[in-house]
Amino acid sequence: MTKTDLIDQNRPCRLPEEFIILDLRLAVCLKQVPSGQSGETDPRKGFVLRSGPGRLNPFDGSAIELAMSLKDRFGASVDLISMGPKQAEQTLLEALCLGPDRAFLISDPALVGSDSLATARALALTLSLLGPYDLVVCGLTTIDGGTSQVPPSLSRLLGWPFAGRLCKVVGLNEKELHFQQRYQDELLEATLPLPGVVSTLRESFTPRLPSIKAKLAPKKVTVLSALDLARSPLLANQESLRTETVDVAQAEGFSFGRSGGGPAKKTEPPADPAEFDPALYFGEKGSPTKIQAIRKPKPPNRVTVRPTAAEAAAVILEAVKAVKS
Amino acid sequence: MINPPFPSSDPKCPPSHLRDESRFQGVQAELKTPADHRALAELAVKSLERGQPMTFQGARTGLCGGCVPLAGQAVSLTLLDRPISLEETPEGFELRVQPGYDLASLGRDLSRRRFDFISAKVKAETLSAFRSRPYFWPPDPGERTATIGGLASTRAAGPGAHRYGSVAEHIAGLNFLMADGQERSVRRGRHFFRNGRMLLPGGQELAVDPSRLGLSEEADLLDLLIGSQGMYGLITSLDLKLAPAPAHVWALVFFLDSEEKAAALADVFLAEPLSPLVSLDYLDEASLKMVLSLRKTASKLLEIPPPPLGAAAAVLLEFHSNDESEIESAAAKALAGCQKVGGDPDQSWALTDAEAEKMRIVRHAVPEGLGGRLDQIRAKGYPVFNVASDFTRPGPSLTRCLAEYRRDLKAQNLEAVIFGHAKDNNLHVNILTENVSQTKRALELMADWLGRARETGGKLFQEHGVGKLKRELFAQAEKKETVDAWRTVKKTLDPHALFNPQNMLAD
Repeated sequence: MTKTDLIDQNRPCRLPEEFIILDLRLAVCLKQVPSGQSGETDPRKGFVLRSGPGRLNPFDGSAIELAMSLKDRFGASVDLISMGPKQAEQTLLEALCLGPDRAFLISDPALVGSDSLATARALALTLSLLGPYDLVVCGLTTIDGGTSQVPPSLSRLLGWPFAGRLCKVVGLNEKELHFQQRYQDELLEATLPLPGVVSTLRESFTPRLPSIKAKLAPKKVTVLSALDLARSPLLANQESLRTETVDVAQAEGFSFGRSGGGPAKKTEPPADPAEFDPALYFGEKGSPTKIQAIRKPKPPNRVTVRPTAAEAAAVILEAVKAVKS
Repeated sequence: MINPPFPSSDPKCPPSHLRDESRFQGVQAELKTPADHRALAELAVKSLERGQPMTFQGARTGLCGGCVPLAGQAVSLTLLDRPISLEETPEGFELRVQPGYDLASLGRDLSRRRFDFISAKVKAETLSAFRSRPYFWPPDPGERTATIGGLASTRAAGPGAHRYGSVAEHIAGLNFLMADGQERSVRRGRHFFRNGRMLLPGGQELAVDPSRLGLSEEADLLDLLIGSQGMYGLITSLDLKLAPAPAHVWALVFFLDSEEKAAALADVFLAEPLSPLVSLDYLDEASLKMVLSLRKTASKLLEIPPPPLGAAAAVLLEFHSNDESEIESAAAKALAGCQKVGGDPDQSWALTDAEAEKMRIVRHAVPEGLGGRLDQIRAKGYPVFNVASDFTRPGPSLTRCLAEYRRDLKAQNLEAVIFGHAKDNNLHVNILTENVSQTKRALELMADWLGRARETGGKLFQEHGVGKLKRELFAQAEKKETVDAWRTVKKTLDPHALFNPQNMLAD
């Protein structure tokens, strides 16, 4: 038995043969989710109650690992950004033990109950405020919301390209990320121009564990309010970020309703950040623009025709190929 | 040693019920799986009347073949798997459970503070008081699928024994079906030794010197029954002492680039005790390699990164405290200790609260991997089984102990996977055998080590029991008067040898 037997071929090396320093700026968007049994929702408004103990969304651990492995290999800086209640600070402090440089928490009563779009907007404003970043890394989805919508929404709001379901980084330089992504059994290889947004497959990047030294080191999380986001350069270039639910209805053959975006309206950025009205940008407090789940009992003897998993996968693959071409 | 190479073809008993985790192989048995307490009691009473031997089985996770039948019936207790009732006591709470209730279910129910009780008599105020704060059962044997009855039968301990002791210290009482067919309650201090005699619940007298059984002068019947490997009767329920759970749990893992450094680090922690320390374990390079190879298949391990490159051994610590600053101070001391022996502080893991479970998963992966390896060899037709040490050896440092084991293994041309508890050098040296000749040498070596452990006052069969696999080693290593004392207990409590026959003592 030799010590070299312990080498895991899939594990990123800390010191590659050719040591390249790129000094990239990476951001990881992460979320605190309720831990254990405390995953209750508000029965009236439908959003997850976050007063209980929380933990890092397990999917986000892989996003941190990807960013940290790039930092190890190419000398990047890594910022963590999260949105949530004050207790989410604890999750960020724990995530800082894994080696990222800074952590920011967007926490404001005005943002309570934000849906995936409002969350993506807050994150986009923060990224724009703290940036520029070369790459934004997100987990594939969350175990509480489960929409998987934040990473692609972020990409759209920032105007950057997006690649989802990353399973391997093949190469990286200042201009592009060469990667592999997995859709079911299909492995695709592609290049993402930077800056860009990616989401990672949980099983492809096993998160490292904190060292004792890192655990004991002092750490700090910077808390940002909605007013802080008013200084974001992105705000000046955007049309109204406000959305409103225009309709919620039972769709034929589906158990979920639909929502529509509000009318696009040019909004002047506030001259004074103190005049910033979070409700205008993120929706009214407690009334998120979420896609309402309508869980009506199915009528008896009714046959619902839905695409099979294989058909759905084929549609996704076609879409991916179209984007590539 | 009885160990037929191939499973019995007896259709009445599935092969999985003719072995345990040691891969010791049983023969011919009729499988009985009573569905509830009444069915179990009826079965036991009838079997006693007919003179049919019974071998009781839990989850069959034992490492000595104690639950493996060699005759008569295999009685599986896995359907008796529920909590019965909860009582508030001055010290905390007592949870009465059936013997087939397992550690994983206990952990789950304690975590959510909700039980599926058999009894409807649990008071609402008792439940309310119980739910006011988290509780736990301090013994922490690594095998989560093990049943409470099985743990009591083998007097299991686990890494947490460093502070909390074995399961015996955390069982307040039990119900016990004896050879006369009567079921009796056994509580702490109710039946005890006085001048080498104990009055048993049925009115019988047991005359034996408790010191020959490794028990103190104040020992009682509960001490005798816990760890008795089902030889004296049938445990039908157990009362577990629940304690307030610590507010903070930290698990630390130090990876070192040589066995010498890792052993020296463990010796530092033993010499300068860290106050909130609950467990102090050691894993050698072969153990780490086993963890690494299991990552390819074990889903739980996939969420844990592999050991760092160049790691040749690891030292694992767990701290419990209600004051996190106390743990932080101990962790800082541990870090200083690592630097003192030349370790790299960056090659370490610090896991807190729920994440601490990851360290337990890594530690438990080693025996799991060893079991898988035995299966592979047995599939080729070699009748190998687990040959592992389970003795304490107080006195010498861990460094000296490990050096001795390595020297002896080298002399016999044998390889081993070494892991276990640093306190009193309770290491599990698992000798890797692939054929009968190697197994013979491994057993000779084990007997030699047991002799040395006895000379230094060690306990020879600490937490896994003797079962059938180690009964010859037991007979060789223990003094004749000790073996005779155990035989006296067996003859008094089970005169017709119907409970778990051939465990510990050959007929």
